[in-house]
Amino acid sequence: MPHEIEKEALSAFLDQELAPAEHERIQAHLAACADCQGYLARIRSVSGVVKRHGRHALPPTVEAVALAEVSAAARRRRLKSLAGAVAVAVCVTVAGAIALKRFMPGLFAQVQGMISGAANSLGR
Amino acid sequence: MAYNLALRLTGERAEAEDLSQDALVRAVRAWPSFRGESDPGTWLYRIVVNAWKNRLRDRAARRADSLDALEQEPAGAEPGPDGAAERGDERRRLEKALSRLAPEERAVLVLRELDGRSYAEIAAALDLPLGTVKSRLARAREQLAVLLAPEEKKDAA
Repeated sequence: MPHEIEKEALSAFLDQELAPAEHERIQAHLAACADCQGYLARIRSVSGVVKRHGRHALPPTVEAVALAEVSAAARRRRLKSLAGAVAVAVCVTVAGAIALKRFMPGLFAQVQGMISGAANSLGR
Repeated sequence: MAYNLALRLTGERAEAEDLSQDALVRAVRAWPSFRGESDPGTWLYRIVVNAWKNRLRDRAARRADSLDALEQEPAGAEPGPDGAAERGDERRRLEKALSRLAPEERAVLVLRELDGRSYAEIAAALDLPLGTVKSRLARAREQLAVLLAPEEKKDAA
């Protein structure tokens, strides 16, 4: 059985979140410890399963609410908040961007820079 | 991702939808006062977490029986022609295992695995010390490793 401390270190090692000295220590330890190697393999596998199967699609109702809120912000005609509202909606759903591009192309062009910046940090 | 975080915090689809909608409306309205003190993603996650905490405070926290609901949900991606049954199986096993974790453990897990956030970003998003993120993530993975161990290797105790 891996010692208690190494489980946490191995998890952080997997994510490359250890400080360089600690990373090297674990790396050296792994070379000599079959138990820790095995544990690392198991959590790597588990990490893969979560990545492959853990994501749920955004429900249409949530998407609809996001777009409705953006439309409401557009009706209020406060451009600063609209740009942000669009950025948020786009980060939530690609469909939001498509809808905006189709129906309000001028506005879409205006907020494109902010959208790509915000979307990159939000991820999908 | 906001929805996936909401889903893993609540452990239950209907509540997660409510929570996501709540959080998104707040985010859209609060955007004008966002000053860039964090990246927008982290900011949105914090809104989700705060909305979730508010809900817990407002009523007794009930652990919804999420098992059936999340296991039944079809895969987020389009199902391929082959292997769909196996994927469904794996997905069900995963949902069952995830339902055994605490919401806080699921939250760090999804932000790391599904959104690739660094520990520092997860700490900011969930308002946790860095050490707690590290230990909670390790604990979540440890539990999943046990719960998802291949069937034939498990001994009857």
